[in-house]
Amino acid sequence: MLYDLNNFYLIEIERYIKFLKSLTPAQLAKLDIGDAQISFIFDEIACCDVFPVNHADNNLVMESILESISQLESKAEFDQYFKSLGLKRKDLEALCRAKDIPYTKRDNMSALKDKLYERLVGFKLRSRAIQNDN
Amino acid sequence: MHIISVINYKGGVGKTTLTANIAAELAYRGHDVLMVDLDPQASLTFSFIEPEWWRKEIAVNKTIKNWFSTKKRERCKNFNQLILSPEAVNDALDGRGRLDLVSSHLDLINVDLELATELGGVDMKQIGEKFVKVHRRLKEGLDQIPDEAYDFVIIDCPPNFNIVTKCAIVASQYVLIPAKADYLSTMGIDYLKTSVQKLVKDYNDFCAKADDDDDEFLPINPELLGVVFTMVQYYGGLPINACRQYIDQTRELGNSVFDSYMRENKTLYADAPRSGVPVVLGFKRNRADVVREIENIVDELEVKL
Repeated sequence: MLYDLNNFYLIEIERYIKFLKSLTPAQLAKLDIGDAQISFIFDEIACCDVFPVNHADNNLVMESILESISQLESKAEFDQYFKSLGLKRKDLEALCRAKDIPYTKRDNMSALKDKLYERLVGFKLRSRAIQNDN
Repeated sequence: MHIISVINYKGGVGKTTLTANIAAELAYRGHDVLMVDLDPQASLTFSFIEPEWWRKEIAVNKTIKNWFSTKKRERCKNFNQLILSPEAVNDALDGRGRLDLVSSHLDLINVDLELATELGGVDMKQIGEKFVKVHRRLKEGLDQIPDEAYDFVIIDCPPNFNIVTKCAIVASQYVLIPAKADYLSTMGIDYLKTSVQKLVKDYNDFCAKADDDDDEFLPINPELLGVVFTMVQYYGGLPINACRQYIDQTRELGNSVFDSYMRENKTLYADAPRSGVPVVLGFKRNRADVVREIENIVDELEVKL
């Protein structure tokens, strides 16, 4: 299912469910007897855009963006989503770093965007195209 | 007897180097191993035997071409007669295990055309039976070898999906895919998987339609053992970033990827074939880091089998 691309809260809930599912029986037992707890921290933030934080400094937001991108099914969807994010160069570099994508200072915004597309979406579409074509 | 085809659509991915080193390491561990060189470039063959000796003693009537050939005067009917024991590598093994070879021939490339003439037929039944018969050609040869003679048969396939390559897949229980961590080599993995699936489906469909209970028409089901990344460049003890992304992508596409990689090392790998002894045997003492990688790949391979 494709996420509502701008609704990070839904993505976060799914991540939380995934996290709960990943807990071992021992960890669940610790929660049951009060030896461990799960915390949510409310962080008040300064501005109030669609993405109200500096992406590059916020791992959760970065991960959410990466997860959203990895669900995209075409170059057009990718372009549309990217446009809606209004990312800055620093954000693109942070996304590249998060996905271990090689880049240099000489790469312009467009090159960084292409690299992200290829690493997160392009390779899957290409693989699917090869396997369906034959 | 485990039969493994080593193949990637893309050439130059270190396929022959991987085959030679895996085979040598398995033999070093005490196994009896047969390598079959199906690549007309004959690189595996010339990694173990001198081209001059091959030309004088082997080329005419003791290569894999003599098994596949449709010409009566060239055709060999006893597969065992094609098996050679390369001297240098077996000396290096010092009796631990045995490493034998069925050599290739530069003219093997023409055999595909000969085999293609044996396909076809007047109706679907005949077409199916001929398809199975032609593609079983290598399997029939390997079936002539006593089961206890070898623990492993490792087939070095050409970088294409012609009839000879398909014969290797039909004869194999396992398929191992070497790949460079780059764009074209990893794309070759997708092509290969699709082609193998199609071959298995066609072959098994024809077998199912043949109204014959003979063993000849048993279905096949070769298992993809996984992808081994070769020629990996390292920096600071890790594969460089440009390699890592292709390795990660291959994993994310659901492929089984070996945790160990073969590193790029032209100094060692480029020259080893000249000595007839693969790196894994020739450099056990003085290049333990490189050798350890091959040993790790073989460890993983043995666990998967």
